[in-house]
Amino acid sequence: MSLLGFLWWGSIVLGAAALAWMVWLITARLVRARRDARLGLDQARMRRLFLEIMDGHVEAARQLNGPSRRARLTAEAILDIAGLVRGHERERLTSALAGLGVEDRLRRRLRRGSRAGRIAAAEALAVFPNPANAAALRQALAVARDPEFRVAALNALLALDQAPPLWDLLADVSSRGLQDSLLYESVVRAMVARSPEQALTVFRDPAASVVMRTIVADALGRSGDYRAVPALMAAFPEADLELRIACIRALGVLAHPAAEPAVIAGLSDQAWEVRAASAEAAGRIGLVSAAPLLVQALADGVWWVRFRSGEALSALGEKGVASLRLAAGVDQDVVRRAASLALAERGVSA
Amino acid sequence: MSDALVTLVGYAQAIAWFVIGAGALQNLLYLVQLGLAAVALSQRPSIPQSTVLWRRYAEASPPIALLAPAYNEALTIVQSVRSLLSLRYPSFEVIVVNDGSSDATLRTLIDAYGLRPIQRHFDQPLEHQPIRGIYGAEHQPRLIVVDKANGGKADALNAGINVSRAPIFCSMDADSLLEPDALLRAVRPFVEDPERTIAVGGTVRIANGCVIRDGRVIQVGLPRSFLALLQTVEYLRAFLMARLAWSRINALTIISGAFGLFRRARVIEAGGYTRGTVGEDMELVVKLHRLMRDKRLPYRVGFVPEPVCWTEAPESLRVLGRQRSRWHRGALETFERHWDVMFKPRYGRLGALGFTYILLVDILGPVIELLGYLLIPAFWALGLLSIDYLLAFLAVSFTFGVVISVGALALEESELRRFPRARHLLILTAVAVLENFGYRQLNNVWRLRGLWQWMRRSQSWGTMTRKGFSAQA
Amino acid sequence: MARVLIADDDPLLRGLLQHKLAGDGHLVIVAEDGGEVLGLIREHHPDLVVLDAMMPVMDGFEVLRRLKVDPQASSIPVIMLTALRREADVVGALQLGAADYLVKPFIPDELLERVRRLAVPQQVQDDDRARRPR
Repeated sequence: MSLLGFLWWGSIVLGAAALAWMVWLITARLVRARRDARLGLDQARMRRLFLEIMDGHVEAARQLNGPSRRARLTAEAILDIAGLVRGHERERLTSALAGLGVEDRLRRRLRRGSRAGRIAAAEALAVFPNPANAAALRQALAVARDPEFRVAALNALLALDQAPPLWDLLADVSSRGLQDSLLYESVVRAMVARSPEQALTVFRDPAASVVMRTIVADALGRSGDYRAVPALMAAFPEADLELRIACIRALGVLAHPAAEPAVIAGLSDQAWEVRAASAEAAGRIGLVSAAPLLVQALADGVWWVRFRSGEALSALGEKGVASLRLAAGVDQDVVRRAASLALAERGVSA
Repeated sequence: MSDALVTLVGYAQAIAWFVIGAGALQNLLYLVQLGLAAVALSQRPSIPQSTVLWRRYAEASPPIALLAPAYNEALTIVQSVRSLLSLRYPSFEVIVVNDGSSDATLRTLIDAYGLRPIQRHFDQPLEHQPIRGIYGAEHQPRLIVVDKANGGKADALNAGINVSRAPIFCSMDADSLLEPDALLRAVRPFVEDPERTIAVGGTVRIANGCVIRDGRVIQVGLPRSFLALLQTVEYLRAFLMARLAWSRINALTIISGAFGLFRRARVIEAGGYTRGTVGEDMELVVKLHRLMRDKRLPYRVGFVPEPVCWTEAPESLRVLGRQRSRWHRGALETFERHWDVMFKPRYGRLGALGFTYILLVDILGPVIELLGYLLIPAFWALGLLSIDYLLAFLAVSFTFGVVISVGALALEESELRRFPRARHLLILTAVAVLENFGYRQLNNVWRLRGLWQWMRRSQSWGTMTRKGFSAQA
Repeated sequence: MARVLIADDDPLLRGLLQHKLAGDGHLVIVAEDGGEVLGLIREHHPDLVVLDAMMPVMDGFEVLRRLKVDPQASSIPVIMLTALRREADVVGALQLGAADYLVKPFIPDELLERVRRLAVPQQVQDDDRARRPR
């Protein structure tokens, strides 16, 4: 066949194939519509029974015997409830479901079937405090590669208080090159908030990589544990920029006055991110001693530093506001603007 | 056969091969796109329920500033702002930029939200017309209104970028309808790959025929107007197939002005939106590509296949034709400014694929195809070409078109399933076939008009035309 | 018995609260989005509102703001019940005049207790209103 003939007949064949595919899809849709309608009814019924069980009608669990065999359906219903309610009523529901063998089915579902179903099963297992569940999640975690599933399993383990050691998680995350994913970051934060001691040990460990320490520094800040202050201050002068930024931000979030030397040093750091974060930290801590440096920073070349410094000064009370008023009257245009706008944003007149 | 006739046949065959070859290449590219889009969809399945989305992403989502430029929108602005403020997202602010409206847009907002002038410290890395005032609501800290002198959409967006402080901004049209979880869906690439992601586009769909209440699409339906139906299929092709495919190989060169997320710092580095162009949305994405490639930094321009934004499609030929000519002019202007990326190896796929594609499919394609419609049947009728040529031409300009249109629809149905009824699919399948007979050709004529306008304007460069804020895909 | 208005776009939550509050002897009115709330308040004069933050049409904070400037409704206590737990959201809602702020997932009995404490049936006013022509 000539090339021209090939084009013509090829297009006819492909066109027919596309149309056939579409016909098949439409047929599948008709079948699916019926199945979805049934699924919708089952979902509604399951949620109703869940509410009844939570309300104390434990005998309603008997009616769940059939539908609860469908692991994904059950998992999604559990997750919807778990997103809304906690406390003893939820525990009543989970123990009734455990009595029906739901845990066992969810554990099996961790390894089988669609990805969405596996993730839902992992997430749902978080509400069943049973060592077997944690073991199954750990096993699944050891072989899973899909980051979304891994994060779901880690979160579930965390909820069950069975999280793997922080070190292992961090090493794993950095080795996979996934240190950037914010989803992992929130897992690390939750883990550090639960056991700041463990996080501090990792943070101080000389064998920990800079990436690991940076992630932990951020999480330590959010943990609200003041024991992290000395460690963060000790690490602050380090050469790595990311780590320095993470440390000073964390100190700012912790807002403990003991961070004063680091904040003062940070205000004249060569990296503007560190200067801006230091200014922010000074404001949060209420570091009046930083006021002169903050006034100087109002003339910084980078807008963010000027903005954060003005903001910090206005947060320093009488003395800060007085310095701002002074600065609002100077000749230098950038300084005047930074100062007067900082005052105006606080609702104070210059 | 006389020598003259032989030469004539030779010419006719050469022209036919050229037209058919170009068409075949174009269709081959479409088929590749279809394949890439299918791979992208199967590798990253959509999360249908918004509760699941919230559970997995809310905790990790960065703050977003939603920039809504408004020009003479007094009638709808309050409703639009209200539905923007009710989006499901953990941390965002809405910055409405009143672009020197001549109607009561600002007054209406001030009255509805009890706005008062506020002071806000902001840097001015991007240029724009002067800001006349910034307003805030006492009890609605998430709403900021910027009042500025008129300067067009790009100018208004630049002002919004300057005033915003969130690391990510969302640009949109004041008249497009966002899905309640649009931000949460579109932010996924920023959450999953925060270091590299610099911009994310989202799928825009046609709102005609959908049930809309209080600025929200309640139920997806099909338009009653045939012209809008054609655009429904066309949008599926453009977004679900073409853009998804390009983003899969990181060569996406356009993010719709109706909805897009951008990393603020990078956009400022790239110089913000270019003022005085028709296609500032496409231009910005190309500038971002260049910036990152020039700096040799790894980056990603992402795309979310799920519909996040709904827009009203024009239902009259005249309005649609104007819109399409304008879009085409925008693409041409961008191409004109950045054509050199095709020849620099540094720009990799962006130049080799993205721009070559624009040249072949967008710039030369319509001309060649229209030429083909005139010449090849005529040559055949005159006996200069055999029937094989005619059939091959019909194949590349009609039958393959059907394959692509139906393929895109099939992709939507197998992965997303947003059309609620089987009947809709049946209608759309018919439309997907029909759009290749008439509508496609009409589109080419409009593009040709855009080309003509661009050539005329190129000579008298410098006259600014204000761009209306009609929906843009 | 108090009249309680529940505003939430999640049918599961509405079902749960309706059941729970009705079981405690309250009269429950439901709104499925933020746009319905103000109208329903004018119509039914609830003694308390349980308000979600992220709702279609009008978000909970905006509803709360409008409710507090409406002379007929400003005295009705509002409990925010939402998945938003950032400091700014909690403080902002309390500044706007919310009587209480509960984060999802919540403990149903805790909410019930807070409703009991805040919802004071306004019998006298009810009678008053009954006489007033509408």
